[in-house]
Amino acid sequence: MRPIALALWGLVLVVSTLSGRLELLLSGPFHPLVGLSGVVMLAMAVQQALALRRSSKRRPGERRWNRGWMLSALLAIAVLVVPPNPSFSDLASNRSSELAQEAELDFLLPPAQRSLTDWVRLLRSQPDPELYQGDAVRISGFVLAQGDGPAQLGRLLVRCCLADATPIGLPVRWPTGYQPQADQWMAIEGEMGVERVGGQQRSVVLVERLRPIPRPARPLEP
Amino acid sequence: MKPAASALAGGVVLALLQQQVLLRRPPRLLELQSSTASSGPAALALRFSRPMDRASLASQSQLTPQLSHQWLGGNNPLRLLLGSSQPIHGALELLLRSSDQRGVGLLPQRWRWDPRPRLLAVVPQGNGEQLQLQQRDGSWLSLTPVFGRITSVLPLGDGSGLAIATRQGEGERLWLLPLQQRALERSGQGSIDVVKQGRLRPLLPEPLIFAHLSSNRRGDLLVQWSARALGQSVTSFWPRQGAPQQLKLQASGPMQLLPEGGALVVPELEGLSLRNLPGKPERRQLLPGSRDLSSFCPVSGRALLVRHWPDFRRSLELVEPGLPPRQLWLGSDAVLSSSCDRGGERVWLLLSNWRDAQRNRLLEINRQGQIVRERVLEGWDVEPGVPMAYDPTRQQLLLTLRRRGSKEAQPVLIPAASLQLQPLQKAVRQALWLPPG
Repeated sequence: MRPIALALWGLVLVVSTLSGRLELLLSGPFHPLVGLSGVVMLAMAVQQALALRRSSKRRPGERRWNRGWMLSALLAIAVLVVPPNPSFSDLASNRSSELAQEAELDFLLPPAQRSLTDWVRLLRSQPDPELYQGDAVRISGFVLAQGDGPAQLGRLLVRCCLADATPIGLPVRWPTGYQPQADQWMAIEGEMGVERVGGQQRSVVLVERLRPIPRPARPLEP
Repeated sequence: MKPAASALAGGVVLALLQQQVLLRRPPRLLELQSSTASSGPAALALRFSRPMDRASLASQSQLTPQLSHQWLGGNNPLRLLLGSSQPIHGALELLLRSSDQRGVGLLPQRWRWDPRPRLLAVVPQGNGEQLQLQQRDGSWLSLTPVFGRITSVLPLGDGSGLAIATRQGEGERLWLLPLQQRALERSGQGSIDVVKQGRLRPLLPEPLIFAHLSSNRRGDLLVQWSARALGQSVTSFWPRQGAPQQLKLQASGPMQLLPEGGALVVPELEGLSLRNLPGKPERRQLLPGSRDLSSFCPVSGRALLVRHWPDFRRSLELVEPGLPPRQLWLGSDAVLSSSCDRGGERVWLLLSNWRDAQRNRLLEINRQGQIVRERVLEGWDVEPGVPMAYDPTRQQLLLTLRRRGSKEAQPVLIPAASLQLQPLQKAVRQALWLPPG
């Protein structure tokens, strides 16, 4: 049973690497490492199978069904068959949104070309809402539910994997009557405005065009 | 107890001890920086060792005099932004008191903050010229010996020094004068009113045919120069930190470093190009047409350009990242200089009409290209080649003007709210602002 379980888990790693499933879990530079691990596991499975065959020739009729390995194999099959569908919004609600470091910002980047991450970094490094009032905004992200206010548009930043994911979000003034659904991916066009919340000014995206989009192939940002 | 178990227990105790010490350690202020690139007259950027409670910072901290201000940002970094339309007339005192998000208090700190730039002037002295600085008490401090002529002065953008081109006998010489000055100080630690000058040192050994200088807010210096022996133009770059280097760039005019650093504007035959400085990926963005860079706005990537039209008219354009240039003014007057507030919300334009008895006009134009104010500089001539400069902290312009019939020019302050001329009684060849450190 052990070679089968090993082969199935090797297959999980290889298939996840080739199909892009890893984009939901890991930062791009680590993908080849995972793929390589899958190949090594497949090789180990072959080696184990050959060893098992030799030993069964010496001792015919002996079969080893280990319950643990069987459970592991079933789990691997489930992972292969059922595609992952994580809730980034749930994950984000349990993570700190502190950015570890402020990247150097390119202020010359036209506002409409700034990603949601660029905007968040810019607003955190220079939180002066009036500087950006009227700037064109063209961003995409998932609806990030907020416990104490309207939902934001968010992204997850990862350095390595979901374990170190940092959620970031931009306040959005949603169209009147529109109820954004948590985890729904959206593309938003509009402009940056200023609103006063709790006596403090902050930047807010004023929506002009809103359209649901499928989850991008690479949803995690570095 | 076995040694391994003792070591493990010791480690656990040490970790617990460290955790408890760190838990009770008060938050620290890691960085405090003054900036004028903001939507108000000045701003302070604060970075703490841990996320702070912004509400407690806003309610417990005090600013004297009580200028309107607001605290911006999530919890770290934070920004103290002074309200617009309130010029700063003296040093401010900031008492910082707050607690972090767990309620641990920051040790109160008292800071003095003076973001106002100082006035620099090239002053005639006997047969020569000298660079002088106006101190906070109004007195003038000599910064250099008397040179035959001071052809160019450029304060480094971080206020850490001055690049000076002088002419004495044949050829120009290029000098660097380091300065020690601060816009911020812990109360009782010294004085922000004092500027200390370092030793004047030559930047290039040989006499030059010409030198064009440019700097950015980081304090980098770019010099386009040529020496008789070379017969060609050379571009030297002195980064604030690091070794000087020569840039292989061909330009059809004077190059300018971008105020925020990292790139420069290069005039080329096809137009103005934007290029990255060494250390960043190579980039060239071209704005075609016959245009000159007139001045930069304090905020992020905005600048004023003068466009030359085939019928000899000129226009002033505001360029913003990702947008086509926005024409603010068009006319046949000569554009002597321009200046810009924030991202181009207010623009000042100094014009001269040679056909109308050299009539000089100062215009204030808004983003829509409407003339908001106009002042005819009746009885005044503009000192050639001296640009207009805007001080956002006092919200006033600085011009070097010569009263018609007078031998010497003088610095003239012009409040942006009224455009009334306020000449200073000082004979100068050139007056400019020295940014605070």
